[in-house]
Amino acid sequence: MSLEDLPPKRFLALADDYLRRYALSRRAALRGALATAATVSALGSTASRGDTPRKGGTLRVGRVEEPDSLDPHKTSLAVASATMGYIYESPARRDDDGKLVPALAEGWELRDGNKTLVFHLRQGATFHDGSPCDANACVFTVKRMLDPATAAPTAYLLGAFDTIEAIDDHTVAYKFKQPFVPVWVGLTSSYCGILPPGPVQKLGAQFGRNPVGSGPFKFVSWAPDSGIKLARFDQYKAGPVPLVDALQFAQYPEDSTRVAALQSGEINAIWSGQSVPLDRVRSLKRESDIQVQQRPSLSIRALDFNESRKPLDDIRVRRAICHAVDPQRVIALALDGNANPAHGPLPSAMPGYDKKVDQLAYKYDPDQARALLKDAGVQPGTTLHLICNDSPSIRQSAEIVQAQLKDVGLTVTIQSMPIGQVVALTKKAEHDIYLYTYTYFDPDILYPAFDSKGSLNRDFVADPDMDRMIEASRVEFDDAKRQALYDTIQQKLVEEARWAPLFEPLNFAAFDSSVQGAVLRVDGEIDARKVWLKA
Amino acid sequence: MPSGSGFLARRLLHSLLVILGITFVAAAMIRLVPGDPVDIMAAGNPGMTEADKDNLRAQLGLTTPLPQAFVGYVANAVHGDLGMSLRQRAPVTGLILERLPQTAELSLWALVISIAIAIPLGTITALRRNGVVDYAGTTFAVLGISTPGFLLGILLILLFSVELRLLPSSGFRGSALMAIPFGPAAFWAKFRYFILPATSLAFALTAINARLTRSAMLEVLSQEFVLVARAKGLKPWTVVVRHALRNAIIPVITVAGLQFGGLLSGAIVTETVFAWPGVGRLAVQAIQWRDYPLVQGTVLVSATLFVALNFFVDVLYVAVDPRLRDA
Repeated sequence: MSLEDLPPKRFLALADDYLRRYALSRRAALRGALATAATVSALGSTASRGDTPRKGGTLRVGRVEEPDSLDPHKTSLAVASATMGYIYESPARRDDDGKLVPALAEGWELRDGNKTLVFHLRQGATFHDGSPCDANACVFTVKRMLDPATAAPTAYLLGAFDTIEAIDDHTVAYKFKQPFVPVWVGLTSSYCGILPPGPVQKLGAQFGRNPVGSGPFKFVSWAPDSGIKLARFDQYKAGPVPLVDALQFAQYPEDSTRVAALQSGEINAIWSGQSVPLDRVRSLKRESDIQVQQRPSLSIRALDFNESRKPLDDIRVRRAICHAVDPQRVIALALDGNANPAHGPLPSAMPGYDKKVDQLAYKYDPDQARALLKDAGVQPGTTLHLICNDSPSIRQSAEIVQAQLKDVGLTVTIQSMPIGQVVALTKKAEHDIYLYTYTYFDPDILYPAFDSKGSLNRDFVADPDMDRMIEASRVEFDDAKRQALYDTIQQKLVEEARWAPLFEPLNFAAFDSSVQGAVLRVDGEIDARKVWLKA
Repeated sequence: MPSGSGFLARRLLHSLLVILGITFVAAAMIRLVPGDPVDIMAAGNPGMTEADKDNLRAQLGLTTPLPQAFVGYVANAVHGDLGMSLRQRAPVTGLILERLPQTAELSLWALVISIAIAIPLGTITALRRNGVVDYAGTTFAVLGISTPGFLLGILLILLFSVELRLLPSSGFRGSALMAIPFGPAAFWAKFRYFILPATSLAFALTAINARLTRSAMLEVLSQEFVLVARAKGLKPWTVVVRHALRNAIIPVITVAGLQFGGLLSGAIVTETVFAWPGVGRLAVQAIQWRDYPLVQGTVLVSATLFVALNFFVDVLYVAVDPRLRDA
């Protein structure tokens, strides 16, 4: 049965389930992580018993990065997306458990063979400047996002989009060219937040520095000295009105300074991306007035082999490297234990992850590695060139790998540089091994990473069989069939040793003792609407 | 026309050529580094296709060849328009102007602290040559020159803000100079934020300046006019401060002027450690993001300031040294 013939209710259930499954599978992983980390405060939340939430106060957050722009159509930086999530509102949101909850829309339904998604917007919702946040604003937003002149780097989130129509002031129809199962992944992200036509047109290029939305916090200021200041939007309609008066994000590029600012009480919290330094997690957990939360992320770090040149075109050499590298040692030595070992091309917290790769994964066995290398005729002392990005933990991981490969007779030269340079250089196949790093919200990462046409394919393998399966997985809407494809793809990738998985990083957040009600989400962010500060 | 102004006109022309040259070299070199701004945006954004990237490149004006782009850039720069930042989508002129005052004031305080310590220290070590004080001063100078800025910065933060809780760990809360008219309390509220970063910047400068004062003092103290002043029966204090130091201080002031020029282009490490919103950090970010207009803008402004300070020193020389007027 095609998706167009599915009863709308069942299609919605499918799309909803798609969204939830990918959040819930992470919850299971979270529980696993919490069980091993006994020092983590209260299960995933900073709430302590006997306290009632109170209003007021400014939550001051220190982050390693600063957004480039707060215009949802002009950025693709994770820290910008996180900040925009407080300023802008979408028709629907995802709660901490990944469940789809109404936001600007009270409800929705599918029409036209599941190709049209109709939202019923709340009455009386306004933007921070007082203008109505209605169907016209939705139309304006989506048209701007898809306009080639906007060149929105995240326009792909809308999938095969056809057009958008306002049926009346509070009813809007998002029309797709074909039923689009991952629809909520894009529509709940802040990149698809609804924009006010007036300010956007008036401010032009300046809108990204003076954003106006309809989210829980309104923009106050953004200055190089004080960072980004947001204030509670009391007319917020799409969910619980925040408890804190204001939210302030300051950038501390240096790890030691950021931690010192938390310890000396200048900021209340550190979260987002790599903001909590891995080498300080252990000492922060020991401090009685600091609360630390952790959660597996949707990221992978792995050794990707360039199969377009010798000797890594030989599967025996690739398997030898897989046997020679012990992810546990990399995690212990380079990350102070703050990661989980990876087994396949997808992180275990991602939907579509195939548990079978856990068994297929190569065991650490240097003798086996040496035997395979001998069998393949690789001379001891053969030099391999490894390219990686210049973040300290990645660089250190590369050095551990270097030491482990030396143990089986391979010499590794490391070249580390900023991520943009890494992407450009590895595209020219100037490496033998690439320490691959990705963070993605969907198993569709398999296409850019492993399809021969993928923009981030760095192993340069053209396997028509693999391409066919990956491309089929992109259009297969039957849950079981898509999972079967994902399973086969992952097993094949592991069996062919297309890369040697190293680890799945963890996300961290650290708070001082005044911060209550904070829950670290899988994307490493916090829903600040629920946070309150003890007096 | 007097030949002195001819000298200055030639120097002015040279200065302009130097600024233009530096900006062009910077513009060309940043483009030689692999990876353009769109590659860097796409690095964390696997869903972008090649077509998306090419469209974005066209929108950002990255398809214009460099010589053509540079000519247009210079034409606009003459009118004070340094273009739009590719990454922050804001005018480069504004981005630099909102950070330059912080860098300038931090540099100024660093210089003030350095001079305030270096001159007395240099003088005392010269007077107590080969004594305990002199050896202690030498040790301090070696320590100052060889201590990496980031290490000193972090140690200061750990001691004064985390342990003793006396001073804020980082950040900038407004100009201290501007707060002077509002009384000592207002000044202190702002100045507290300057103390640690300015001290960590001043440390290495102090070491150099103290050594310079010491050697200049030793030279001056051995001259005959000092002997004459002493013979007149002047108090030792008057001889040292009024006669010797006045002469010894000239090279120190010259070097301090050049140090100020260097500081104005942004103390990258100190600004990073102390989360200081200055031009140094802006420049580093621009390079990381391959934000070509912003890289060119920060280089242009830094080069202009540095060249202008040098030019100013040249003007002073012409005013001071009659021989140059006839050159």
